[in-house]
Amino acid sequence: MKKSRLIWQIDVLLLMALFILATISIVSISSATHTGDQSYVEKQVWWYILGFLLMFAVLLFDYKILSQGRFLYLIYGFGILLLLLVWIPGLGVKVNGAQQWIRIGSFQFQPSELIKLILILLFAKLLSERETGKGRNSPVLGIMLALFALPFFIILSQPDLGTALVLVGILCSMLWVGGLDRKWFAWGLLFVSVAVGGIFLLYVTNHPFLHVIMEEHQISRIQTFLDPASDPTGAGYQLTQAKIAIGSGMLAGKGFHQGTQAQGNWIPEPHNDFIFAVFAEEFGFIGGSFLLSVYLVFFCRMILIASRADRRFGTYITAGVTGMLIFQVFQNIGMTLGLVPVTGLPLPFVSYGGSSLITQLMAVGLVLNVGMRTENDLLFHS
Amino acid sequence: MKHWQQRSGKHEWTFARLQVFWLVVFLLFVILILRLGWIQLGVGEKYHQLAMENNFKQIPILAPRGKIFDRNGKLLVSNQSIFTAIYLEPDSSKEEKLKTAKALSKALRLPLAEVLEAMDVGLDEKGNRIPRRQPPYFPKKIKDRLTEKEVVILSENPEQFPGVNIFSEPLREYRKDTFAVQTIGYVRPFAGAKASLKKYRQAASKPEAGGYLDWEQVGMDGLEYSYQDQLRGKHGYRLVRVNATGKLVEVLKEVKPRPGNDLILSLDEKMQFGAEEFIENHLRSLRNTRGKDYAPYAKNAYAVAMEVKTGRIRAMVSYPDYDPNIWNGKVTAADYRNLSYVMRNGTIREAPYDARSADQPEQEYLKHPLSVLPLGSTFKPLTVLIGLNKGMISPHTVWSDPAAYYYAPGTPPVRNAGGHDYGALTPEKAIQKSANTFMAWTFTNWYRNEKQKSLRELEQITHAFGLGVSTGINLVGEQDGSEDYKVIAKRNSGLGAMALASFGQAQRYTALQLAQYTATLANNGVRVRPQLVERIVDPATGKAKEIQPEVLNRVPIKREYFDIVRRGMIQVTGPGGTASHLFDHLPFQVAAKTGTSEQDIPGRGRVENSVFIAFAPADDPEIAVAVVVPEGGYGAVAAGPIAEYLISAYYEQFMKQR
Repeated sequence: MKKSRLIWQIDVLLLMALFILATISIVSISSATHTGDQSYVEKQVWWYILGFLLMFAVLLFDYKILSQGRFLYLIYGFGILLLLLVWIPGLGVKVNGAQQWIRIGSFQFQPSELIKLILILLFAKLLSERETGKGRNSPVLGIMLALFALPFFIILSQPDLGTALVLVGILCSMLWVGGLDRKWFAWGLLFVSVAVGGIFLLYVTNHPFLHVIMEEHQISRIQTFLDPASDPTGAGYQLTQAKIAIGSGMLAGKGFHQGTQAQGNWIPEPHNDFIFAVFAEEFGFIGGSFLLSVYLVFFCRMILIASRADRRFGTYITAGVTGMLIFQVFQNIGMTLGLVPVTGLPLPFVSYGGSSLITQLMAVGLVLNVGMRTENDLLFHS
Repeated sequence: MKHWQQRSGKHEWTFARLQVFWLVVFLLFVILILRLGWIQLGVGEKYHQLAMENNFKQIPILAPRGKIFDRNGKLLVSNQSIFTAIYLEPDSSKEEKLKTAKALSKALRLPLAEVLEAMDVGLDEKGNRIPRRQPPYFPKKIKDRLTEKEVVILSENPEQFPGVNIFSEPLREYRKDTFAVQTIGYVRPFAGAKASLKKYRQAASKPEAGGYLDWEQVGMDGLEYSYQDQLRGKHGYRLVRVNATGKLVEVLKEVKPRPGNDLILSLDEKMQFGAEEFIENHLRSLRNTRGKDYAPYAKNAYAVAMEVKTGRIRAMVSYPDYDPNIWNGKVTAADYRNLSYVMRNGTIREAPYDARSADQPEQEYLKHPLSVLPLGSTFKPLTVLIGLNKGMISPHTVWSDPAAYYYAPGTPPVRNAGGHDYGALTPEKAIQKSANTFMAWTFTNWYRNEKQKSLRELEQITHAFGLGVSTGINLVGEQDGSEDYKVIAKRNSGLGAMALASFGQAQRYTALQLAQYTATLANNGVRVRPQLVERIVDPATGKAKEIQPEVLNRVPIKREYFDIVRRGMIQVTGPGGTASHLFDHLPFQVAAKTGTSEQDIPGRGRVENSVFIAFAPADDPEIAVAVVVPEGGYGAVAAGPIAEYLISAYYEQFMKQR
């Protein structure tokens, strides 16, 4: 197929959903920073332009070449190196208590964003080679777990629990689509349930063993999650104010730039982690559920691309990207809605963000690449 | 062990797994939407309320109290505008609030504990949690009357003082030259008032009824208290939006306050002021001029001038007085001790001797009479009137003065002042000469005839003249005086009680009661309510409510008996009368009665108080005055000239122009 005609194969619905998200992002950041530093809106536009350029750059080559040779291992090593650079004084920057940024000149970025992409590609390669070609009889699961464990523990030690959990999300979604036996998931689910249930039980009964296995700040985080009012000035305060913002938006919202919570600077990190609260306050349930629907369409298209891909490599890439994004969306919105504990994760495509937005757009570029280069509906033929 | 699902076809389970994956994603989003719906639609109303409390503060704008003018519109009491620091509590940590408190303590030079108490953030100096007095979203006043420098510090470094906003508000302002101080009264912040006065305690227990603000100034005494509901305006408010640091972002709505109603008093500025000044000089001269009129303890005086027909009070002096602006600030215990000698209105209630300059004031004031004291001979016109009315004496009675009248065997006789023998006494002459013997003779006869009934009847008649009952003036704390003859009759003898009562030594009344009694004598028995306020004016509309004169009761005694008493009182100021040296320069006759009441003070012996009543012009009375000078000595000497001054001033201010 000629390259000039490839562009017509691009998934238009996915792209449209992305544009809507970009619009919502600009609107929300405008609201979030209306009474503060208004330069964020312009900067976000530039980030989006840069991100879209990179996304289209990703479209220019056939994704399949990425599975060739040892190229991905090389990149993986590079990513790990960057992750470790964070600890070098002068290069690493601490933000909100976590050592997760690298600063070179005036440019800052999070290496942990890059490692997500690298892991997705690497896992996709390993999974697709498992059934074909040279990886047929290699211990794929073990290799994957080893490749996963290294960045996972580095990121966990920064400490950045949120991003570390995103890696788990990527791993799980890819293993699932990659065909790992169901019993593993059953055991895993059982283990997580028992762990969460056990900790909860220990917490409720205030058992001394809780203090053996967890640190004080972790325990207080559980407490904040279960009862935000117990800590009205710290994380609980942020959560409470975000919930007040969302709740007071009611059905139709307070209107653009009219959100009293957002405009009164009551919402913490309004252009970043808590941007959903800003949007839901000003545009109400109508706006909030519209945003969720856009995400749903977005993910629906991604999963369709995964199912139509003519190479398993493509299917697995798409599954990984989808898993990563869904995990972040659910974690972020669930956090502002008080469904899951607070971890500092931005809302994909909507939060203000440099390197995370760029990574996400590049990831979408990969997915679009997969969708674009699907010959026919091979899943159902041949 | 199989780690991976086996493939029979090429793709079949991949598709199935993607479907499960999609299902999970879909369910997650269903959870999110349901949760969002619950927060926004289910309990959105609650969060809406919380957002309102967060963001919108209603800051009251204090309504200025009504102004007070004299009868000619001369300004007596007004308001000044001051700057106030108001704290709108932001949602910040207790450390930050403590920091703010420390910064405020430094900037305003106030103790940290005081600042924290005013902020009411539920913290003490050490940062321990203590109970709050009011909900956090109530605005709190930290300090008023900010100096220019303080305003600059607070407004130029807003980041140091999160939640602190500066507003202007009114503060009561009294004339520095102390005008009718106790009559007008004073104001204090509601926070203190609600602890001490019932009216405000009730208002505080029903906030929706009063809507009083803690720092709002409310009337505590005098007209400020009596007309509190008129003088108090209706507060306005600003609905403002604040941000998370408690700073005002924008004013959404402003409702202007409605100033309270103005009072136009019946007091005449010149007359009141002149009297205050005259009394001060007169008392000083009494204290300092040695001779037969020397009165070293004449430090207090109480005088009332009241219009006979309308009851309007043209002057009301309780001397000494003080500058009531002191109540605008912090009143120390020492201040308060000093104030306790001067803050009471001695014309309507007991006020102590001015012992401020004594070494031990608390002991000293006990050695002196209070403002409510026996009226002495000023009661005699009423004795004669009752005697005539009851038929004990007749207009034609001529009684030969025995100089020493024995009303009962074995009791000391009643003598006239100075032991005089006045010869043949008619009712008029008995008043003119102030003959104790004649009075005792009249009342003891009454008692012999009617026994206990006479005591009851005496009480009735005096009450009809305003003695021993409330005069009906709209001032707080008025006392009825005390009818000691009732106690004497019960403990000792009714006869003796009546003898003492006949010349005013067994009953104590206030100066205002004496004024009303005098006016009622002048009015032929028509008792009118004393009024201090002529008009209540709404400053916004200019609408005025006139206060009408009000007759309280009419005494059923024949007009001709009043005429006899009047003639006797005219003779008091005529040749041979006890006050013949007074009122010479006036173009009309003045009816008067002097009184020198005696009091036995434990540990000090007998003191003589000077009392004087008068009305004028005698043939068509317009003004009645009553003056009491404790320890002033002879009635015509200490109190008489003050009465003369008041009647002259009334003539100058009210009658001359006509």
